[in-house]
Amino acid sequence: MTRYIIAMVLSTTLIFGSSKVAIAIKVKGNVSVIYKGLNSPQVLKPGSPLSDQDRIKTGKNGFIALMYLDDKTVVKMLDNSDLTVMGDRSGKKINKSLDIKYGRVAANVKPQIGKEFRVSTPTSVASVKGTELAIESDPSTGDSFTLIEGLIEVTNSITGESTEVQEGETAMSTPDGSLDVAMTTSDDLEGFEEASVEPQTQELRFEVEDENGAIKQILIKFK
Amino acid sequence: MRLFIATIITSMVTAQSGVLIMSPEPESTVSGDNVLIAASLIGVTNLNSNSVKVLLDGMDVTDQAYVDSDMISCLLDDVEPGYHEIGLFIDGIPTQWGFSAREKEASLKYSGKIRSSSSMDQIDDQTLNINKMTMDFKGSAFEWMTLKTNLKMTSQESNLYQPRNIYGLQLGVKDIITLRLGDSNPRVSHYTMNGKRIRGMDLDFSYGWFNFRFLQGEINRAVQGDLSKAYSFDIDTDDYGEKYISLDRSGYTFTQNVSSARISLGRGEIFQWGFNYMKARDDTTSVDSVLSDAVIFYEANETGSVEGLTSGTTYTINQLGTMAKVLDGSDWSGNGPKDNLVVSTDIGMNLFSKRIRLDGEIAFSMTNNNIWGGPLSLAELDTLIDDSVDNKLSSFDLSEFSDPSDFEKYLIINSNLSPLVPIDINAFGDSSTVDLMDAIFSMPSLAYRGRAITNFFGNYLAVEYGQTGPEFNSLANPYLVKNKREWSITDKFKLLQNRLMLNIGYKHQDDDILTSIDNVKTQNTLSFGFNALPGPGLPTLNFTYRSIERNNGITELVELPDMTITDNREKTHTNNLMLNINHRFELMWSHSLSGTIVSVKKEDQFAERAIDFVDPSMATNVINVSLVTRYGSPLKTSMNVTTNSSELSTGPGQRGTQEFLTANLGAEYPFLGNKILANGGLNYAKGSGMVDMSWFGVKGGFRWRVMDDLSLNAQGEFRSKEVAGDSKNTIIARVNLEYSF
Repeated sequence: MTRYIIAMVLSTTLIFGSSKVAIAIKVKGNVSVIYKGLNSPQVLKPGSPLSDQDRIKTGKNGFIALMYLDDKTVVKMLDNSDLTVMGDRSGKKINKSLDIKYGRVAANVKPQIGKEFRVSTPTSVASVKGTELAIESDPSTGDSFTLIEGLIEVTNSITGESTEVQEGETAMSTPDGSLDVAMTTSDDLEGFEEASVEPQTQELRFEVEDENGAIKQILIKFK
Repeated sequence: MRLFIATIITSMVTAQSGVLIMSPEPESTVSGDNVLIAASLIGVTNLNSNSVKVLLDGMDVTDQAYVDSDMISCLLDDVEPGYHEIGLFIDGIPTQWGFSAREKEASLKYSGKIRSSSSMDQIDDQTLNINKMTMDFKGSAFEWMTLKTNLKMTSQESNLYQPRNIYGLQLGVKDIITLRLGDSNPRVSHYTMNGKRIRGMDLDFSYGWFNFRFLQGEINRAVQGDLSKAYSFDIDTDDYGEKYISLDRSGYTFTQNVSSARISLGRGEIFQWGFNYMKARDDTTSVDSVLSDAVIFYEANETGSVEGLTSGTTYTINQLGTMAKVLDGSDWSGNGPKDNLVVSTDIGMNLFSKRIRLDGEIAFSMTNNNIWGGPLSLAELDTLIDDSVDNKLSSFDLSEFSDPSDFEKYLIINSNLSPLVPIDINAFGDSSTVDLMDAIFSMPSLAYRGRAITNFFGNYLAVEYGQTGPEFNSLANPYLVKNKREWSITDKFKLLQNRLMLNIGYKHQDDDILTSIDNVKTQNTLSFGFNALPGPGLPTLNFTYRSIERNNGITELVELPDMTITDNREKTHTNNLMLNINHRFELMWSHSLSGTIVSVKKEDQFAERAIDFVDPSMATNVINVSLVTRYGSPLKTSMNVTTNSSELSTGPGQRGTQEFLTANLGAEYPFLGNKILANGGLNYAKGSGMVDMSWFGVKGGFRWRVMDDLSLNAQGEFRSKEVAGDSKNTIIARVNLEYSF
């Protein structure tokens, strides 16, 4: 039955024929997707493809990790969140952005050579070049951008004030126009436990063939 | 043996065939419950999706997979624990990788952080040393139980002040029960309790649409005060004509106990209605009237001297013995013990997938500012409020009312109650002269607010209204601004895929809102701004304009009895402009250049003023330029120059100017693969005009990641300052050590 539902979902996306930009690699709890061009939400399952402007919502205890198809940039959405995945295919690369309506999102963004990864919320816009960060957004109280690694620039949409946020810092951007940066505290990452983003492991893989023709691999992992 | 290197692959780079492995990560360990095999094929040229085959341990599972020209995904249930190999074949060319499946998720997870810091601030002749240690621990077990601690110990802890140490423990059972013990900063509602620290217990229960919260603890702990300042004294004469020291107690704080509860219905995602209750009362027994070791400096005065005491001598209270008597608590000059009751109800709704948000709260408080002596009787209350006719208060027959002492458990009612009569009594009875609804919404101890937010088509519109009466008071929320009414409307537009944002807003504020006040102070603020973010490689531009009108409603000069004229009129207009340009560019190195101009001009709207009038007009212009450069090496430098020019009133009929220039130069450089980040900088400032001053400072420090989980941070700054020819130095040093696990 589960596979039947997945097949239906996948078929629907095929009908609309959008270029895929990402894939749902992990889904837990209540997660739905409104595919671009459709009005009704559908249950999102692991392995489902996602296209530009597909809108994902998580309910209570919901969680999804999606991965972009070009560089394995990972976006994790926690419970009670709403975001629209955006990606513009340009050859083998994807110009990526997220439109967060509300909720908590963590991202491990690979370096976007010559491009930017944009994250917009009702209160702020963040320009990301390559980093690991956690975002909490509420249209009524504002946003927090917590940098785990890398560098981003956050702009408060009300005042236009911009600030750079570095590793170990959290920017608070509010609807009344304030934009402050402070050292990250444990409270800033509260609720993101499910999305613990590990530094990506780099690999070197050597394939060797013995005298009998059997192929074996030597794998070296490093961070 | 024939050996050759077939392929060199990193996880970031696609394989030879253009396949990018997405899940599971090669050689990773994943739960066997649901294993997703996924790969991106957008790097594969001339792909024939019919030629794609997926094998798990040699078994063809292609019929369970979704394959198209961009990707392949295959979700497999219940993969056996152990090592597995995946083979992905495209036109017969294999991409192979392996992974391990485990039985189930680990049931115990924990993490924590220990941080120790010391600081020394020597500013002019004052030195402040602070040592702190914080310990945070978070853990979960069996996916249903969570534990969190929040501990802080500081050398600033003293029994002369409220606690600076923090001891917090939080236990959770799924999303159903959260229990916080020790210090916490609960937010129950906007008006009742909104983030102030309490020490005690906070229980939160939530099941389905039903939510219940109960808190009990202390807002303030008892502080007996500085032993040298705990008493002042008079020389008094007793019934037998003997002189004695009459001691007046001051400089103390009562234990302030609080209990609060909230019942709410609804999960909050779409709807929630809540009822809130907050009760706080000072414990009059918590402050000792006699502190044996406290001291007074005794001097005889014009009222006489006390036999047995030597004028000009310091005595402890113990030494004074029967020669001293402490006044009753009700006569102490220190703060009186308080009693406070707040009830409120709030409602919140999210409609159309949170595109519309409606919320509001209405709260009512009663505060007794001095509960010494306890409650009044009904007859005493009748006399206090309206003594024209016994047992009657306006149209009410008081004999039908309970005695105030019956409510002592909830609120102590006496002459210090604020408000004594919460509503205009002229709104009741057949001959009422005030509309009842007007009377209700004008109650001095009422507070209410409402807000509507819509978010459609990139248009974020918010309308808010709020009023807090002059006598509204919540001891658990002491930072609320009282005696204020305000409403606002703001709209933000997002255009051109969020690259252009416009915002416009209007806010009206009234101070002194009692209906009996003739002249209400008003402030109207109109704001407009835009924010342009054209895209990578192009500068961002931000502009904000605010127009602020202030008026206290007074239009006439007032002639005082001594025939002098006083001018209390206030009517000003302020223009506030801010323009910021930010540009990132590459010129040999990578730069971020920012320029900001701020102009504030406030003008008095009354032309005819006396020559000695303190003119509220002022003008300030600020220009800031900063440049941050990242070099090809890891070096990063920053330069910042700011000028500030102000012109303002310096006294009756006098005006002055002040010029200020500051310049900062800083650099950061990481060593040893980012293990050490060193930084340093210079700063200079010069001011002239009303105050002539200058300073020069140098600062430096480093952050050393000793191990992955252990880091050391040390910073120091020296600043030499000269003000009006007088030189002073400032030294600041900070060091902290942090360990995470």
